[in-house]
Amino acid sequence: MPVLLVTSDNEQFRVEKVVAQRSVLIKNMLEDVGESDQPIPLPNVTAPVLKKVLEYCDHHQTDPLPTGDEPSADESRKRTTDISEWDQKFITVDQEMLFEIILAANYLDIKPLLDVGCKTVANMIKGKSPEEIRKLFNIVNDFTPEEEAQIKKENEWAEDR
Amino acid sequence: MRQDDVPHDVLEQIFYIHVYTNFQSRLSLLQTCHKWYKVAINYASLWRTISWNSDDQLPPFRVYCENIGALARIVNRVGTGTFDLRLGCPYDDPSEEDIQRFTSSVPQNWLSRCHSLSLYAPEERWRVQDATTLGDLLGTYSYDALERLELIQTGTKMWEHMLHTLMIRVESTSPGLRSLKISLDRERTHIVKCVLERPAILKRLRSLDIRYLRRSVPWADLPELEDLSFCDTVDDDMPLNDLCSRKLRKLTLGGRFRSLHLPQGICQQLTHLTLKGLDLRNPFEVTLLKFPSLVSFGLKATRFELKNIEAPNLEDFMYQFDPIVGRPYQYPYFGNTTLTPRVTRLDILADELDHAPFALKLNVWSEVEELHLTIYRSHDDIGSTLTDALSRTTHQQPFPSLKKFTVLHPADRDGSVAPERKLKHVKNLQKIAQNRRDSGWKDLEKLEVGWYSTNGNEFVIKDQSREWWVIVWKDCLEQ
Repeated sequence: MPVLLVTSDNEQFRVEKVVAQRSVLIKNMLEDVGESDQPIPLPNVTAPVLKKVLEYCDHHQTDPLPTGDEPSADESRKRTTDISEWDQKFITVDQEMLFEIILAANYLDIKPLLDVGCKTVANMIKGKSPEEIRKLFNIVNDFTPEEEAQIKKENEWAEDR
Repeated sequence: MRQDDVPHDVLEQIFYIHVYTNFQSRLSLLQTCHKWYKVAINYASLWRTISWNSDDQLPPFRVYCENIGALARIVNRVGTGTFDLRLGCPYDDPSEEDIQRFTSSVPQNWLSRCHSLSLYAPEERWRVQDATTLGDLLGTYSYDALERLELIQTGTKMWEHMLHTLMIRVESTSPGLRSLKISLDRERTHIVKCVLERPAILKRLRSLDIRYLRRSVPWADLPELEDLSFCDTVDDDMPLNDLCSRKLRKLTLGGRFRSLHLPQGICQQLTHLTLKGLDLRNPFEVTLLKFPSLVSFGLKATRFELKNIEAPNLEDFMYQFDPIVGRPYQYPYFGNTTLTPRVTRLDILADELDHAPFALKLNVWSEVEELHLTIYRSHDDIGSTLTDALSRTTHQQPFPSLKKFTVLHPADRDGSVAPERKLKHVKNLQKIAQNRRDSGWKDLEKLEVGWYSTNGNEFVIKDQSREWWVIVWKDCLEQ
């Protein structure tokens, strides 16, 4: 049975329940309201972002849902910073969309998508200096020179390995 | 949308991957901006693996504190969370003044949140003679959250006072202690006195890892023991003869044992057995061992003939090389065994001459559904013998039940993998899958190739655990 989702910019998306339920938030809402034709409002997600998120949910609709249990030995062997090829292609978007997807995944409670987003950002800052990170994300350096010196003094021992 | 709008819990997740998966510096997070600084400083999980005075660099995400002031700072960052602490041999025993300053700047019972405590002394001979002040300090706390205690090379005189005061407190305040690891170098007397002569502590243990004790262990004081790792250099007095823990299921043996003298009852109940660095080929010293409950059997750098073991319920068989111990890299003799594991994990050498057993229709391969290979050091592929055997192009058909097949290759020293090498490895596995399909065999359910990095370190570290991790996997069935 299809589910009707309404975005913050009032666009409607009719999607299969199995796809929509990749979101724990939507799954819980559907369980709360029972069988209903009522549209589900998603006030924190815009249409272009929801479109991307649903593309992810559709591709991964048959994946096992995360249980929150400890990973098995085999899964631990596989725990990597790697992102599968499809996910890699999916998440190759501009920076604004990347953070929008991360926020949407966080709001909609789609842990595997949030994980892909966070891994992508972590991989982006890998090996970069604070200055390079600031430049990458357009972050303003709001430290005074004294604060910078103090942070370095208090923490540089952790890096001398 | 600005990066500034990212909520704290999402930033925490990114920082966690940065430190614990990508092994990157915390300092770059602290130095970026006020927001990142605040999130990182207040995220207790980012600081929970603490090392003080310890020379060893493993694991790479450990927070290294070079003085007691730095330790205080990190303890405060952990807040009310639990943490792991590795305490190395100090260059100088802290002064009374240092200790006072430290105790006044950290929560009163900070060690009550320590989940895992290691005392580690790799190069103690040229350091302080006696860590009295530090010992007194450790003797003032309670260790309510302590589950794991490691005493690594703490057998010499300078640790005596510290161990004495620590173990008195552990005995009275750590009801949840479950795991103890003791690795000795020379002196043993006070370790025995402080630790092994405390039945109240021993009876709590579920897991014991003990190395080079060279004397008997009071096995009767360990009724709850489930997992034992025992490594010794002498076997004259057969130190495991009196092993009697009824709950023992997992046993790892290492050292210089030339025979396996295990009580009958223990053989009956073991589900996991691993042999490390042993030479057990002498037929006069090794008789047929029967393990009716065994599901997992591992050989790490061990010479052993598989025909000497009977384990009708075996599920998982593992063989690993160990370049550090310097033994020739030889596979065990795979023939004439009754073992029929379902899952097999093997280290693979590049030399084609060593691969002959993989092309033979042996009992040991007959029920293998999962084959996981790790290539050691070489950047070459798995070789033509294995490729042909797995492609089922030989008459022997050594792996008739195979469903899942993975291969791990080493990455370059800088952790990268050249695209052409990646492609070559993928294509080889895809060729195997295609050949099997062409021969009318059922498709493999899983076919993956991965690449691991050692971060420039050795393939294995001293205690034979592996310090590399997989950087990327590729599903070769995916088109």
